[in-house]
Amino acid sequence: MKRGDIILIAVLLLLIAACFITKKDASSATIYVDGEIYKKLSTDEPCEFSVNNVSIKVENGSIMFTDSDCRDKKCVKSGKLSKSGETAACLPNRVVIVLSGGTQDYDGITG
Amino acid sequence: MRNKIFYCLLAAVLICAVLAVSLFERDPFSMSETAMGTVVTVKLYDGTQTEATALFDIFEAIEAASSVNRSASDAMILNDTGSTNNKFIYEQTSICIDVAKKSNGAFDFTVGNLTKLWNIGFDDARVPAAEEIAEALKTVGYENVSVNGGTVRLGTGQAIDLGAVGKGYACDKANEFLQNSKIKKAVISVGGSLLFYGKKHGGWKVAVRDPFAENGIYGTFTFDGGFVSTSGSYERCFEANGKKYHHILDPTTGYPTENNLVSVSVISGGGAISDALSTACFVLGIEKGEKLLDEYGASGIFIKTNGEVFVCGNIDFVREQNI
Repeated sequence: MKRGDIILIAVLLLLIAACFITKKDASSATIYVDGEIYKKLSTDEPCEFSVNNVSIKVENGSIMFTDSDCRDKKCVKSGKLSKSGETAACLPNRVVIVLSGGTQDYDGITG
Repeated sequence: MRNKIFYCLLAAVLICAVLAVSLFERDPFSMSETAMGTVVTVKLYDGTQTEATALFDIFEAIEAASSVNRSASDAMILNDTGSTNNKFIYEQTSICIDVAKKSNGAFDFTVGNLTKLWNIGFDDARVPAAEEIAEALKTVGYENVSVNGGTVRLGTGQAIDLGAVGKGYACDKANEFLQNSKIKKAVISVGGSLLFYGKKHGGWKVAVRDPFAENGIYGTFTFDGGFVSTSGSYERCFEANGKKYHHILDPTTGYPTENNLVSVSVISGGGAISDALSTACFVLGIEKGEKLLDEYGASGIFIKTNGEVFVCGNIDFVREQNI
């Protein structure tokens, strides 16, 4: 086998490996406000912000509602989200958090 | 000889490459919004913003017609005037009557006066006086509703509440839209009611929420696609005098259903039907619920208050602790 052949095979193997690796990104979160994408962020980069009367915090690979002016505070009670596919929402303020990326364990959740 | 080895290796590498590409599909286009009193997410594997927006327009139209929390909705007009020609209401009512009949009234959508009394899920939820409940119960009875030639007519004083089928019905309408589009694969989730559209390599994996833990998963199952709905006593509830009251009312007593169930998930070929069946089965309990599901060729996952699971139909439900 020539040297060039080995290089060719190595390059192909690397390409396949890259295909696998890029699919295992760290989880990212999308924040929707009034039905529009407000922000996309990585859950690996800590941050805190407020939008539409709710406060959202990212830390240690998870994201959560920390405060809201709504009455029932269901959004705050939904706690920390860290797994791909998880969602939480503040319905009165129309803010939705959706986690994606990483390896998703399931295609949908009922309940 | 060297050449042979080289070509064999190259072939193996190419096969691997093709497999890798076919196994890992493109990320779907995904969009989430608050609609129908819950979070709605559309995931289109080969669609775009255009189709997603069209789907949300459909959901908005259904909500505008069906909500009993919007004063000018067609459902409210029906409750006020006793009749409507609205297509969305007509279709939902027709499905409701069918499930009401087959469940012997364990599912009944004419509980509008009762649900308004309790108002569970809203700030002013309360335990009504026994006399109030008795009065509201007099107006419950699907037998007094007629559907004919596109018109729905209620009996005197009756009020409907389509909350138990609206989300699943939205999945039905999404299904119709997708069938007329070029999209081959999608997941539509309207709160806990979902449509898994098209075929997915290895099947669709569905998680069932843990009724006992916030953000937890109780187990999963894999199927070829269709509609899934869940009714759970943990979803919308309130506490009064140290007692917890949930939103699944028993149409015969007027009070929240009290049995050994905490959640029922139903898998069937229709969205509104899955929705109605999950409520009916919650009220009926496991034994009668299973018979009802049989009539519709549907499957069910019943989770009991003690944590036990009863599965009926062809469903491979797997408890998974560490997802």
